[in-house]
Amino acid sequence: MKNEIGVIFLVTSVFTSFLLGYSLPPLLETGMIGGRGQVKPAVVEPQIDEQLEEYYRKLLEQN
Amino acid sequence: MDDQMKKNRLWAYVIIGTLALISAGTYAYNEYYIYLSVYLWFGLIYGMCLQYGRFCFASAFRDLFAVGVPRMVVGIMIATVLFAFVGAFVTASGLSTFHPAPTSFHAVVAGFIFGIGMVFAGGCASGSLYKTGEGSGSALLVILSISVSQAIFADIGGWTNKLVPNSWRESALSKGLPESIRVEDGWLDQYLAGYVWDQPVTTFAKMSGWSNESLMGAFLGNLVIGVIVPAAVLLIVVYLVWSRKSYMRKNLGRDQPAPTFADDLAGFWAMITANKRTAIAGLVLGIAAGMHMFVIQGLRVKFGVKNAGTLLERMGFDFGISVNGTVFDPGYWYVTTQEAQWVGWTIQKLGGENMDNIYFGFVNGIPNPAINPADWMSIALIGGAAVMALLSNEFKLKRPTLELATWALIGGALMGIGSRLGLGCNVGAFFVRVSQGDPSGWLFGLGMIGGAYIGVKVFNWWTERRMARQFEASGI
Repeated sequence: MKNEIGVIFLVTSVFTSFLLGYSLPPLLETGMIGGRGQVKPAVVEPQIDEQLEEYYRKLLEQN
Repeated sequence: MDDQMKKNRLWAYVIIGTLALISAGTYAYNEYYIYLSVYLWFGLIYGMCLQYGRFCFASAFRDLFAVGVPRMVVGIMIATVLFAFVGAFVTASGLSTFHPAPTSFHAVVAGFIFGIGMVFAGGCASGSLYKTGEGSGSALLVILSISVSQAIFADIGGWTNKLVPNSWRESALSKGLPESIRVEDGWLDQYLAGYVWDQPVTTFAKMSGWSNESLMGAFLGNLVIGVIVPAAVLLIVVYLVWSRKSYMRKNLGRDQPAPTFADDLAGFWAMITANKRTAIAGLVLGIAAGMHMFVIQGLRVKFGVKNAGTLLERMGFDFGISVNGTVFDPGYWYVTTQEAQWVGWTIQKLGGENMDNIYFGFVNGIPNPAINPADWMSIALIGGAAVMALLSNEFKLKRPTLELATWALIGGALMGIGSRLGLGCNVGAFFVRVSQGDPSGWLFGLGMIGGAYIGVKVFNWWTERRMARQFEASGI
């Protein structure tokens, strides 16, 4: 059983390590790690697009 | 190795291989899918931890109140402290994705309803997920019941509007929500916008005069004052009421007239270290949840978004995205909202209207479950629990009896209602909030303990009554 658990842990570790490595550079570049937030990251606020606006307009009319 | 074990091993590899393929394949198709893969892999880890640590609040309180065994409750408390310790590091680094909830008496009421429900159902929200991974049909019914009851409760209007106090209605209408949300029609909408949103949002750090991200705030305010001190008080109460007597009976010398302080310390330590599995699971859960926040924050910065809704729109999925352009994307471990979304999405697809309420339409959305980030977490969580159960030979498909199914549906429905009133379950409203220094988590926990106590009493009464009838019928 130990071998099987070991394989599962290995696969999980490989993927999570990749994810950690993938997310680290943006945090370093923006100074969120190591720079105490000197640079503010450019963030796109969630926005409603025209199609969605149309959908809600129709929904309102139906009601 | 017998045939069954070989089959189990094969199935465990199939599960992990499927998740790996999904993760790699979707990433190759579109880079943005990596955001969903974060939820997938951390969900897998949560599932493995839950199954290994038997992390079920319902079992814990049933053991405590029904038979006086505090092992699991103590394990969960220790796990909470360990999770809080990791949480303090993440908060102090400024990478936390956690948002505290409004704090008021509503959390106690919500926790009370949730507590009764989890005892009736035989599993809390997290417990039902890992037990489903172990093959329990009853646990699967609990999940279905939680999901359906939440989706219905989130949208219920009509006659229930008459039960809404005028002050809530007026306050909700004054919030200036989009007209499509129809805040005037829906009990939960008016409860949320008219009452809950008006309650203070704080943390123990802020109450002590520090910011959450400061070292003093994260470690002294949120960790020590907010978690360690109250947890220690609770553990002392548990020791004095449930553990001390049996420990002294076993360990006190015959010639010793009364226990000394050293005996009590030894007894307290023995109680704390009795359930290592749950404590270890809690520590790994804490580390994983901290890493989960870290990775999500990194990807949000990389892709320049605040919420996965923007990514889904970029990938061409606009169905079920909230009026704010958001979907449910907590950035950490959460259980119940994604369960409600499955049903919300299905109702919407079947022609119902579920986007005119605050819960779905304004905040969380109801995206297709196949591309819902938090759904990836729950599915992988069940997979992770199944992997551990298979490899430890604890997996077994179990069909529920009619009686168990009835309790599962009633308990699940109560948990669903409690979750929506408290904005979370035993994980989102208690475990995560408490460990991040949010006082509303303790209020939910107090209610949950009270509800679990009443639930155990009702359940015992029902069982004794049924047994008495059976004895009567058989003439014993």
